[in-house]
Amino acid sequence: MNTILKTKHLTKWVDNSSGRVFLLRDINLEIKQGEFISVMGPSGSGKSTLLNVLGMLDTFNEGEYEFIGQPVHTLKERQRSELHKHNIGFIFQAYHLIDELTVAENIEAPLLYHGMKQKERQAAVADILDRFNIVGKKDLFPAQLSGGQQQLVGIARALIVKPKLLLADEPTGNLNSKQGEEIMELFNKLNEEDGVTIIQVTHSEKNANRGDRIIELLDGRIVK
Amino acid sequence: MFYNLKIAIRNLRRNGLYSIINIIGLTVSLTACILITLWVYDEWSYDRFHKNKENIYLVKFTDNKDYFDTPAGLSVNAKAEIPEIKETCRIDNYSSSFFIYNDRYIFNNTGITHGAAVDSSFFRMFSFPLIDGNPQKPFESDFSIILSESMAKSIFGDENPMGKAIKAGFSANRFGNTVIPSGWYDEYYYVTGIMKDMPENSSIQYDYLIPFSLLSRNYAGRNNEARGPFNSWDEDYGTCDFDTYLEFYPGSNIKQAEEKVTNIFIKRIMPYLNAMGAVDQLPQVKFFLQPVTALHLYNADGSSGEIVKVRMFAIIAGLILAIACINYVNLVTARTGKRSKEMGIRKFLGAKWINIVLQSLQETCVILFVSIVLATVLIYLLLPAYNQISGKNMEFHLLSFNVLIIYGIALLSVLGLAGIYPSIYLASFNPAKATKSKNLHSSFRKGLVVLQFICSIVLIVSTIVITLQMNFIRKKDLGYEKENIICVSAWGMKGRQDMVRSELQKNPNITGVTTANFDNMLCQRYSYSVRWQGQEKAINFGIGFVNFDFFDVMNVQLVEGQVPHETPGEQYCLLNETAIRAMELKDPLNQTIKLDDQLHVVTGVVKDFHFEKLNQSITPLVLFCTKDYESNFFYIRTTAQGTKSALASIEKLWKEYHPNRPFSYSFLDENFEHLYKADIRLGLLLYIFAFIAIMISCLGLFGLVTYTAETKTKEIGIRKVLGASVSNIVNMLSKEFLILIGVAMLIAFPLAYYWLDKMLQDYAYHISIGWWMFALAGAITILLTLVTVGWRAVKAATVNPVESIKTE
Repeated sequence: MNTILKTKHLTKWVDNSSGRVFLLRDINLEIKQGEFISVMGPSGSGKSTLLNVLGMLDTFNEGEYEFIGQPVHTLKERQRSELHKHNIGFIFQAYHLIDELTVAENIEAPLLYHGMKQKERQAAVADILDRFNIVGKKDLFPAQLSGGQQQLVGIARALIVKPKLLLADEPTGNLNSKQGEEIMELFNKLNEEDGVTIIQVTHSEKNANRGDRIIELLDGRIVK
Repeated sequence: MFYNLKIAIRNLRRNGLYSIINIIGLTVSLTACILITLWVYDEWSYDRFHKNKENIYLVKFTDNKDYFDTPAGLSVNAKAEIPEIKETCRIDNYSSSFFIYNDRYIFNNTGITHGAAVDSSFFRMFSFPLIDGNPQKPFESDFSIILSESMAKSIFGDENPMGKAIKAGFSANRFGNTVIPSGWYDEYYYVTGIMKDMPENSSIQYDYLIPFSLLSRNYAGRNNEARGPFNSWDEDYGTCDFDTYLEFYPGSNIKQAEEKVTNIFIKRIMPYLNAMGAVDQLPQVKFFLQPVTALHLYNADGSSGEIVKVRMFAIIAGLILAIACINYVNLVTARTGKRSKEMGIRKFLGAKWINIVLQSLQETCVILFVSIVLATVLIYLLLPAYNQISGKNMEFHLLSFNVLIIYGIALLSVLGLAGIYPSIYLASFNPAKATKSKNLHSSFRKGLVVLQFICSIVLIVSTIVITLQMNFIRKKDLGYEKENIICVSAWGMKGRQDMVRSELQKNPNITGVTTANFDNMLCQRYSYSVRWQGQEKAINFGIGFVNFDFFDVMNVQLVEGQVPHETPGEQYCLLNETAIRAMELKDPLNQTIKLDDQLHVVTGVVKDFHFEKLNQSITPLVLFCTKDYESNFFYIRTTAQGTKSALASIEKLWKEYHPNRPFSYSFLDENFEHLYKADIRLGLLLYIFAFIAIMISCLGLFGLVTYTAETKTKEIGIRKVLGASVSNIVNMLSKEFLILIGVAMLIAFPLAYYWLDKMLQDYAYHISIGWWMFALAGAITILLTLVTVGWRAVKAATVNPVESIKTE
């Protein structure tokens, strides 16, 4: 299987009044296409930071990061943004839907930035609404949906650009156990049937075990 | 009370940026507003200091084309025949070049002192206080003179002027009625009164006064033709050159009085017309009475004059204040999203509507207080410069009644517009919804932004159009060459112009010398009855006496005919093209025309040139060629580089003729600029205030976009995660404002067109309004908006999304 991403001695820190604080320290990772990885660790261990760095939302200070063969650490901001835009989907614990937009508009939003024509966009949105069984909700606003439904919209939005990598930051953190289960089911299905590579951050042992392997972080280092 | 105040100050400090935007906006607009109001008040206050201002009227009449002053006899007959009239006063203007006291010549700095012959009722009718002298009987004899305080000071220094004798060099400032014959220069005038300097906001403006009765001494000396059947000025209806003021008893019917005055005139003019053999030429005349308080701001016929400018500035002041208030309202209501939670909680805790209104009003008061203090400081700092720009002498005393009134109005309007609405808006929040509602009144806010931009766009278009109009006038071809001409008074060189000319022409840098009886190429107009080819008409003629070489030196073209070189005198004349058209004169050359009963042969037709201000179109003009008639003014053409050397030659000659008098001269093109100084000043003021208005608008816009960016931080973050680029985000933030500007333009352009078109009609020569002026204004507005909004939007768009979407 192809390697989708690979890091070498990846390190990130911030300087504050009490000296240098390491957020990520010497991270060496290799993730293959189609893997389902769970990242675990106590609060402040650097899980979210790692996800942001891998998703190219955040920068790092030292080390190397290669994403589908491209050395991210040498890329310019604009190239990195292109790479991210076309290959990575994000899912958040707080859903982060845009309150002023309807469900359909929320899902459509990323396509606007892919320069897709309106017809194609509508087709893609209709397709995914259908697939996720939320056609009836397409004209509702996020505030009118339950948490589970909002997260479903969040996932649909992440998937609409057909990303190679799905990054999920505690996707079930705000949901009750039944809703959580459903989202996890969906993740397995996406991973197995569509071959989407998934990296999820989670606190739940049970959810973590749904993945192929678990990476455990402590104080910014991989401990397992 | 203090609890609220404490909270208010804390809130203002916490929202530092918004508070600063509000304070800067209000301070600048209050400053501008008060400065403009001072100007407006100054204009409005003209001639309002007279105690009897309600009852004093100036008499004018019209033949439906032009407006004329009154004959001297009218005042006497009106007083005798109209019982409502309490007092009458005639005024005849003079300019005087100098006074002589103890063989010492005293010249005014500006070269000209203004004086008048007035009836002895002058000080009873008008409220000009006398420091010394008797207001009931100000003149003891015909050779009495009353001086202004500063005039007396420059003549007598610290001496007591009362009863002292001075000689005066009067020169009447109009042709044809040199009322004071030159022999009278040797007479002594005795000072019988000292008046306070006439206030600057007075339309009646004189440095000295002599009795009107003095003029009557000379009436007999006038030629019989002009006198007609009259024996004295008190009977005279032949010369319509005097200002007649009438004071009525309170409650008089002015409309009726106007008719009575018209009838008196017609009754008395008939014998004159009979004597002239022109009885069938009784002109259609209508007399009207102009209130003294309208002299400065309105035209003689009551139509809008200066008042247009006053209104324009008053509107600008209002707009500037409104723009700042809109900023305030917008920023306060925009932030209610944040404040509403606090208000909601306060309501849960039992706060009444009024408590919340009061709290919010107190914040407004604190901001206003700070702004007023800052504005006061600014006004004190800026007033000297402002006076210089506006050419006025306005004063600002913080505790004076006027200023307090202005502050009071500003306070109320800001509190009203900017304080009450946000307060009520904040207070009326339903506490249950309060924590959720965010953009409740955003359409109201959008409306205000549109309003603001309408104001700004109208101001920008106006500034562009008015600037172009000013430039147009300044660059207009006048029909003569105004460059490199030095103007020098010929006073004291009279009769020796030829010698002066030949002396000056020895300097190779002087390429031409000529004389004329008018200054600055501006001729006076008079009404003449003209007879030609069996026709007769009353026509308003500009009239000028010039030397033969005037046409060469000033580069005034002749259309046909020639200048009567060899035979000077009034039997020959030249007419301009407009005169030919007005008279419908065919084959004008060598025609004989009769002007006020003198025969003239037309020897040439002059190409039209501008001999009046450019807001007048060219009128008929008659020019007489003379050698040394009343030619009071030299026009000296120099080479472009030789001005200095030319001036040296002129000064040398000047000293020979006027050993007592400082050399004074001017450049024709500078004088021309001076003529339009008021317009130029107005243009400059308009620039400044338009700029301020636009800056305050932008400031408000900056506040709004900052707020938008703040509330959309999360959305911007999400969009960036979804792949939005910086330019996507900037677009998103600016688009809304650009749409609002588009709407504003649609409304502002027709408005601006309407009023500018109206304004330009005041000018006889004006530009036509072109679409590109609007396009330019639009481009400027959009550019300013993009700079204001874009800068903040880029800042918001470049924030790392990881920061903005961090889960709370």
